[in-house]
Amino acid sequence: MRIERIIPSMYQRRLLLLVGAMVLAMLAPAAWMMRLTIARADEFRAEAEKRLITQEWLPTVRGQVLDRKGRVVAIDRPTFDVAVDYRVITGEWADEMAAKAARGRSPAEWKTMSPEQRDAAIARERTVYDEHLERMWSDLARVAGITRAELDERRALVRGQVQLLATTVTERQRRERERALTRGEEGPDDDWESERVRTTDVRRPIREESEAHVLVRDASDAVGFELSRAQRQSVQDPGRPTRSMPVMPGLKVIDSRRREYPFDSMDVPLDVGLLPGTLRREEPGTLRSFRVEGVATHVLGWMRERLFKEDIERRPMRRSDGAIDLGHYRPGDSVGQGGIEQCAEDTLRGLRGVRTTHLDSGKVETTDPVRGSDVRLTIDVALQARIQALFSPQLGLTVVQPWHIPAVRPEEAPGRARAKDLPVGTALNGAVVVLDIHTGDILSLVSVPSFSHDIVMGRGKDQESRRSAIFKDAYEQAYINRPIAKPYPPGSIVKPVVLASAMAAGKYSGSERLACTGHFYSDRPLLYRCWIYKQNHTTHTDQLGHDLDGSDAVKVSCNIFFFELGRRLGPEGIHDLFERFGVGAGAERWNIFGANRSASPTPLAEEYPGSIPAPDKASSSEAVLMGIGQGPILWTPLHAADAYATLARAGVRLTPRLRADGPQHRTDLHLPERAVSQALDGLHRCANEDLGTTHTLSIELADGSKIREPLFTAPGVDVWAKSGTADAPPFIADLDFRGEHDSFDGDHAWCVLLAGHSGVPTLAIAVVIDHGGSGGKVAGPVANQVLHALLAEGYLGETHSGAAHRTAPSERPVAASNPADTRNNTNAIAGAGVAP
Amino acid sequence: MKAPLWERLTGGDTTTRHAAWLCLLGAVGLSMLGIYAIDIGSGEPPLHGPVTFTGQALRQSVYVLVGIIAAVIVALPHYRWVRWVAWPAMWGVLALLVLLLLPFVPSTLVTPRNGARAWIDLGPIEFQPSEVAKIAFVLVLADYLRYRQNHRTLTGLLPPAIIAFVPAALITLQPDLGMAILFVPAIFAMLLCAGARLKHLSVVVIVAALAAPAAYPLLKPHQRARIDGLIGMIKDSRHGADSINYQALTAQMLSGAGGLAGVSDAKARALVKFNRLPERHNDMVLAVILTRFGLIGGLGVLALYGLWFFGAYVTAALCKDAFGRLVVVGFMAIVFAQTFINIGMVLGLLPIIGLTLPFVSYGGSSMVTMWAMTGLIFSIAMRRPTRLARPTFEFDE
Repeated sequence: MRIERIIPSMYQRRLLLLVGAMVLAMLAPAAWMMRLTIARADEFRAEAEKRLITQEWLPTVRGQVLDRKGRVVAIDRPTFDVAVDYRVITGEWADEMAAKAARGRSPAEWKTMSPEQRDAAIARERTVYDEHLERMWSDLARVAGITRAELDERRALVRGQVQLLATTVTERQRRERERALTRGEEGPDDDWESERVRTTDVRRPIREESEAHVLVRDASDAVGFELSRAQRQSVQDPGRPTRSMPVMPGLKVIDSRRREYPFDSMDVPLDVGLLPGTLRREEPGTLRSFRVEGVATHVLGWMRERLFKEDIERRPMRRSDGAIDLGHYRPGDSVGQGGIEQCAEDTLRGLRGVRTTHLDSGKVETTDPVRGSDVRLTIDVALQARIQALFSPQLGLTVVQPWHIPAVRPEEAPGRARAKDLPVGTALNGAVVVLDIHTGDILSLVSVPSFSHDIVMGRGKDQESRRSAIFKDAYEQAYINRPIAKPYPPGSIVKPVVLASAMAAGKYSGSERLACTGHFYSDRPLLYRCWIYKQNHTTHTDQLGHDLDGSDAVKVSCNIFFFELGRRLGPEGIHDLFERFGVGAGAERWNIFGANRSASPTPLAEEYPGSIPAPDKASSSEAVLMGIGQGPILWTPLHAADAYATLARAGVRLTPRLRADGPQHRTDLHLPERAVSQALDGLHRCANEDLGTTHTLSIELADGSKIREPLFTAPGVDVWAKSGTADAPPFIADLDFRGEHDSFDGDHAWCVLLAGHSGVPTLAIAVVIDHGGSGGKVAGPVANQVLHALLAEGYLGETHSGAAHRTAPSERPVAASNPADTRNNTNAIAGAGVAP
Repeated sequence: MKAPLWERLTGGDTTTRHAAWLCLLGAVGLSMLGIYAIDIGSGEPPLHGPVTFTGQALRQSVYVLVGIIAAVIVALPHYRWVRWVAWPAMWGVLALLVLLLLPFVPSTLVTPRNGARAWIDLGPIEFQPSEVAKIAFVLVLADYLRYRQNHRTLTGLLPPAIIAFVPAALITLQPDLGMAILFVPAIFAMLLCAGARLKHLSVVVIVAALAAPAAYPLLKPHQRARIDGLIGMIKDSRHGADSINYQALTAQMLSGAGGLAGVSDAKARALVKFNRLPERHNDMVLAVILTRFGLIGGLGVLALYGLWFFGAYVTAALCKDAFGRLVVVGFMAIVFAQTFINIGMVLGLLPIIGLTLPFVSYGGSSMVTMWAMTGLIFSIAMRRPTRLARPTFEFDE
């Protein structure tokens, strides 16, 4: 053998074989070492260097919300937050301390212990630390002024949120890992994938598990200072007597900010001498102050402390391109909920700052927080408060009065049972919209009942039950933003709109006169009746002495006339008319809180688009019914105000807006001038001529006598108005809280008007009173008081022109009920207000 | 004329021209590098504490010094004296290994560490008998094999296997599987060089390889978990990143982070500290060296081992004495196996079984053992006979 000739010694050959094997064996780790240090060096360096960086988030300040006059209606104010380390919240701290104590008792013995023995030793030591934490939680609750149960609930909430976040992060990492592993492989199978990478393979502790979390927000200065002292105090460690431990371990008192709504509660002076009929007990000029809680809560929204999974997913820390989004959500963040706080969340939120410390070099890099941008609203908060005050039960305007209930009931259609009338004294809810015709600005958007921010953002036990009442009371439905979210049948207020649209469609000439026959179908006297026939067994033709043209029909609100227009328009024409006025899912829609739905991060799901059946889904008899605003059609008060404003603009629709910087969309409906003028003429005559349904308020007294007085009394104000009594199905409620539910009758009372001066309408106003009954008797007086409120706030006078955006100083300004709230608003609320 | 007493005691063939100097050079280089790496691994980054020589680095320096002294002590007498004490030493070590396992031995004397009863506490110092057992085993087996032929038969492999099995079994019971494993390459290397038939050795290897999976259920849960972890890591590089493979993956990450030429001293200290590499001064010290000096440092470490092995190989090749030859081969096999396994562990190629990197990792017993081996190789190189006393290890293939 050749090798034996070269190396004759077996020993030498074997030795060489051994060394050769060693060299060959060593090639594998050497090659692997090269792979790690060359091919994967950058990846590993980056991963290793991640641990050399610590990041501390710096809080930002949420932008302010201002009303149209620059009053600050939502603001962040400095306060204290009390946070506790997550390990203390979970009790891990007690475990760690107990382990240290157990080890410290006998280090030598500790080394020899089995894991079970160690666990037992730790458990023995743990009791004192658990007791220490118990004392801490009780003390913290006492100092912070909350109950222990409440504090425990918050601890549980933090644990839940952190666990949720950890799950989300881990799942994302697991999916990324799976994608990395399956890249290039065919047909990824979900089941197979889920087995490929287990959650436990990628689970790493997240930063939040080693951070402090806020348990007490908005602590007062006294609480903040006391806890700051406690933060520095220590006691002897019972497990390690030579050492000390904090009295309140893991406690951090943090300078923070609180969202405040300075105009949330206001005292409004109202002239009770301007009230109608029996409600007027004082001379005109007599001011009474009314407290209003929750001014514009629906418009402003509030801050929600509970973070949802959707929030984290919508704005995660890392964007899809891998960059960090400084506006991302973290446990403890507040999120805008409802109203502008929700819709302008991304604008208001701002960007947190970040302080990055490089542990190897000590270098500190700071990205300053970016304050959230301010948002200016079109509403006038003082006007909003005034109008909201009109719903005060003490005023009586929106309380069921004896004269609201008709003395004689018309004969009902066969098969229809009559429900109970609402009892006298029942407080009524409703909505008001005031729209600037020239700009589309919403000056006021009132929803009653409202609720205070203290209730939705407060933390007391009582607040919790009140909060739950808001969201659970089926009758009050306080959570619904009625002007934009509650569907109402329109009733007679659609008549001028139907008139103009029928003329535009060539279905009515404008000069044609139609007879009011009392009931539409000659052979069915109990169906499709005119209201005058139903109540008085007469007809408008008889009343006026002639057949009616469009203007007459609007003035007297003749049902027969508009049944006929509905018939002529048919299902298609009716559908087309309402869709052109923005009603229905297919109509051109707006998001009054933002530019459009897609631009708003979280469009309010509550905005109701209105409902109109598709032409092939509606019968011709339904089209007849929809001619008077009944049948399968629903809209909101904002639709009503917008439709009237469109008539006032001669058929030009202008997007209503609640944000001053909201874009304007103009759409010309191409209504003939004659159609518009006849509709407006009818509206003007309705409010200003005898027999007009919104001209006179007739109050029947108990003795049978009547008080008759003009419905609209605002001096110098021109009014174009239409009332409506929209048939609504009976509703079931337990109004007297006796645990018994009754069925109540109650049509929705509407009054929609255009108001201006010198013959030019400048504002469109829609008033609806839920289940109020007669539009003229119930909604009309409220609408009249809205006109007075507008005058009081400087609108509708000679100085106000919607087109010019000018705002005159209030004649009798309203005041925030909390003097402290006026700190930032002294300019906005100049002059004397009524004392809180 | 009789030779002077000194020459009679030390053998008289003393020469300064031998290859064991390379072993010395490699050992000194590795030991120095180890002290520096331990200082990095156990110290604070400059911003977080004063830059001083850490306690562990200082203690390691003392261990190196003690190791060198031990090497000198074992190198001074002729290695034939060592052969004479091999068996008594083995019996003594076995007694100590048994003592470690006796349940009634007070914990002050035998303190379990990481669950293993491997250490005897002698007050100021702790002593690991299994380290000495490695040397004693090599000496005893070399003594047994030096002029035999029966290991050329299959049954003749049994006595050497028993000699390895007894200490290895006692060490496995501690449990210290990593240390016990080292006996396997040592016995194979010594049998190979002693002329055992290749086919017998191959049969043993094949049978062992086939039987290995059957041994899996016999392993302790943590040992099985490590093997599972390694298999999982082969399938998915992030498998068990926060559990069983945390140490392996962190070591890999830091090793790779060093790149080609490593990072600065301060950065290396920061990376090692804040990435919380477990056992960074001990089993995982190579990761620290790779972080600090990168691939160049890693190849440097391999080069220093290369020096040591080359010196040992030349010593074994030139040695004409059967006992001397097998002792050097046995030491080479043990040091190689330990080095190979440790590097494989750090780089993620092998499961973590708790073996130190010879001459580099922190630890007195290991350091003294390695230096004692080096001293013995030095002694054999110094006194190598120039011709064979009698033919040995020369058989027909």
